[in-house]
Amino acid sequence: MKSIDLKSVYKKYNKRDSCLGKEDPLWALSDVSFSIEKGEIVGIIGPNGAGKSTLMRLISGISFPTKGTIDVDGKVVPLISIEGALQYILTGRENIFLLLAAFGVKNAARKDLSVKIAEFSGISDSLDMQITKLSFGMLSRLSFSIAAHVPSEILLIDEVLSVGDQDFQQKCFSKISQFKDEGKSMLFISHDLKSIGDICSRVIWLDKGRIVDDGPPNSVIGGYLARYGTANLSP
Amino acid sequence: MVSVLKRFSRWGDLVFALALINVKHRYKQGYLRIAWAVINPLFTMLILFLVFSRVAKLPSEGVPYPVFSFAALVPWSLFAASMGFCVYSLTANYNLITRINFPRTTIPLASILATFLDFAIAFSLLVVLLFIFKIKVGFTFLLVVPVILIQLLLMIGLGLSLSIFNVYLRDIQSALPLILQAWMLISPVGYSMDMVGDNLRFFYLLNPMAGLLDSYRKILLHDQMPDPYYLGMSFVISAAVFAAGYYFFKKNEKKLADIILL
Repeated sequence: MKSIDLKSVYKKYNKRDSCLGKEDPLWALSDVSFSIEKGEIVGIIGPNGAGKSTLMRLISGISFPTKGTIDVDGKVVPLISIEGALQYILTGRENIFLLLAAFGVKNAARKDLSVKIAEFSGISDSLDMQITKLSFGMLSRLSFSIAAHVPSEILLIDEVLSVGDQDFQQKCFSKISQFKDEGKSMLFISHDLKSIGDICSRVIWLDKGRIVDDGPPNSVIGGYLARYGTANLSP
Repeated sequence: MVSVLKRFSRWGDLVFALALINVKHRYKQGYLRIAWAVINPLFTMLILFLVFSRVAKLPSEGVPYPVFSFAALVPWSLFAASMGFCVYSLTANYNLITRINFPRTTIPLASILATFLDFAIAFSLLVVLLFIFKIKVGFTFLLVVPVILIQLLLMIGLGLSLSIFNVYLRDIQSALPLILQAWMLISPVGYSMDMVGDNLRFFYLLNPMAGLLDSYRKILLHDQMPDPYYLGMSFVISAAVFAAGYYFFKKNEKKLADIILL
């Protein structure tokens, strides 16, 4: 069963200086087609500006393709990028309430989830203050904890290793392997080719909005390294 | 209808949470906080009183001028303030819009809901004024509810339009205060609807706020039914504004996340 199916997807952004300025089209994605089976774990690699984030936005339904079709079967949750959606004027708990509501979590499930989120984040003592008082690491913990507890079938995970300290990263990884056991489909974006190779069963290499290669991690990452060299490997 | 209720039960709390952000942004760091909800209309009332009643010596339907103007100012403030929040509601919430996929209509709706907090406080003060000035209040009082609902229809329609158009053209948020200022002067806020000549009456009523404000006065100050022609005009125009606003919003909603950051 397919959980994500892209057929010849194009995405054009119109860059303009002003409302009346001349159009300057930029094709963020051109002719991208692939499908992901239910439970599959796929890594997306490529240099900056390759179209990885655009792809994630299209799959999560935040933005829509210029041409082509995207079929998604199940609830999609982005696991990392929602950190920027936290509202600084609110307390931690109010943010949990807001984001769960924004993800469409039903009223009945929300209370129970809030408790689990507070516990998982490991910062439940600090959740009643306005989040401006929290450190950057604590905010990452909070946003990851919220997204990880939203009921979902498909997870979009961006730079998983950037979250929190060693201890919390360990927690994230065990959460991700729990998702794997639950049969959730996952899409990883990362520049950390080693962890992509460890986690994913398949890798898609994007460059300038086109798919360069799509296949088992070893061969795709091998080809990628041959093109860009080891300089692109994160430490 | 059932699907509307289902959507409401699912997304209602989101509207509430977004409204909380609006209220906190406005009042959290202020010294007078929520007191502004009464200071604003009271101050405007004072200006109207000096200009329209003391200087221009306009009649006020046989009711003391302060309560006469306040009865229209409170619903007018609800309208003007909610439009002021709606216009930049989407652009201000780009961080949510570009990250989470949820119904975008919740954002301008939350701006409107947030203004109802101020409205409730100002309206309570209005009730106090009605007592102080010994205005007779009867069962017709309950008719304010349908009048508020018609106004809500108008506010949602216009709020949806303003919020989505402002994403494309930020000039709208700059022009809005001027438009609202002019709009208040062509509405029966500082003066009575009776001052408008019969030959102009029809054109005057094309402004849906005119019929609404006159209805509030009839109900609250005179213990009378609203004029069905006036209120009917307001209802028809508000419903048209609602339909148009919803249509424009839905038509442009999909491009929102791409355009909002350009």
